[in-house]
Amino acid sequence: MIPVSPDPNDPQARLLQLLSLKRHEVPPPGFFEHLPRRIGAQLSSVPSRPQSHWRALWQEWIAQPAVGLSYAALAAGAVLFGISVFEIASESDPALASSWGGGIGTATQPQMVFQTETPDPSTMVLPWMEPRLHSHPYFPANSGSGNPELYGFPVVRPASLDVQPARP
Amino acid sequence: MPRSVPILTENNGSTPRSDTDPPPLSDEELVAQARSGDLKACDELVRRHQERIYGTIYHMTANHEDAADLTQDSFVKAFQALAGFKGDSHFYTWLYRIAVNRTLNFLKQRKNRNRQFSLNDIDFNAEHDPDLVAFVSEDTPRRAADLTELQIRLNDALHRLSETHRMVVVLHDIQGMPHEEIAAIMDCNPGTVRSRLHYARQQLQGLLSDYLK
Repeated sequence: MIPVSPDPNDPQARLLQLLSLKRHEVPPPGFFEHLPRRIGAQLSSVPSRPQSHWRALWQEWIAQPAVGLSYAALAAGAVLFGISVFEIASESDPALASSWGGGIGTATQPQMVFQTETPDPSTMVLPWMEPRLHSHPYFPANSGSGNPELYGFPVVRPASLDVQPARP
Repeated sequence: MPRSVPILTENNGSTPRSDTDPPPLSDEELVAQARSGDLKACDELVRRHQERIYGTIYHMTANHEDAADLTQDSFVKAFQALAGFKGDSHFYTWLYRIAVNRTLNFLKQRKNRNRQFSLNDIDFNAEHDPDLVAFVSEDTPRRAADLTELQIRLNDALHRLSETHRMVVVLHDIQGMPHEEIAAIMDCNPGTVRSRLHYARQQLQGLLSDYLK
């Protein structure tokens, strides 16, 4: 029994005495004999869903806060290390930085971007600057700059368009 | 200090043990066996904890049918999730947490519906409980009727509390759990448990004032 305050007039002690009535409420006879059987029957009737390998791996290695934080710190460290290595490499070799489109290391040094050799745009003649009609592979381009073969583009002509010699 | 409450017995008394019997397995050993699919171990775990789990859910819902369903559901869910039990806490604390969360979710869903009591009978010993004698008539035929009336009033007062306050009263004042264990089950501080208990008792004293004079 719950030991209560010796003072019978203490409302809190009286309340605890009153609450003790709840412990005398009992389920119907035999309820606790049947319940384990009902649970066992339900357990055996419902096939246990096997835990997937990835879910188990997630719970075991990543879902725990400490482990997850250490993974995050490791990933952040790897990214910072990569950035610092790239900066050192780009300082020693500007071509490396320009080959990466300026990169992080050369973004603060714009002159290095313009030091690289780029072709003069006015001398460039690119295929897509020509009228599309002449560069179409199905259109017979015999002369002029419209011939895509001049630029090394393979021209595929469908066999149906080839003229077959007439049979005698 | 944990209080001893008659309903909280480990062995429910259906199988008395003799001195020649091997010592009973611990919960941890039974959990290990249950993990490997041993249904007998599951059965033993149910027998050990069913009265406490059912009692908690019943006192929260005041409905035997709901409590029976929720108890069964809690055990089944616990056994299905046994692979996720890390052993950081006692098995019964983990089991209680599942039962408490399911009960609180159920009560939230039931809030919109009409509350219906389905109270269990009071056992014969209640009429002779020294704690209760003062609340009921000396007259023996009248005593049972008084106890039934008192039971309805008490359950009604408990259901006027919020679910979390009622849970603290049920776990501490009825089930006899210490504050720290309740805090572990309800995932809060022991100080929060104490303050909730204090507030809930004040509320109950107001609601049951005519019995407490």
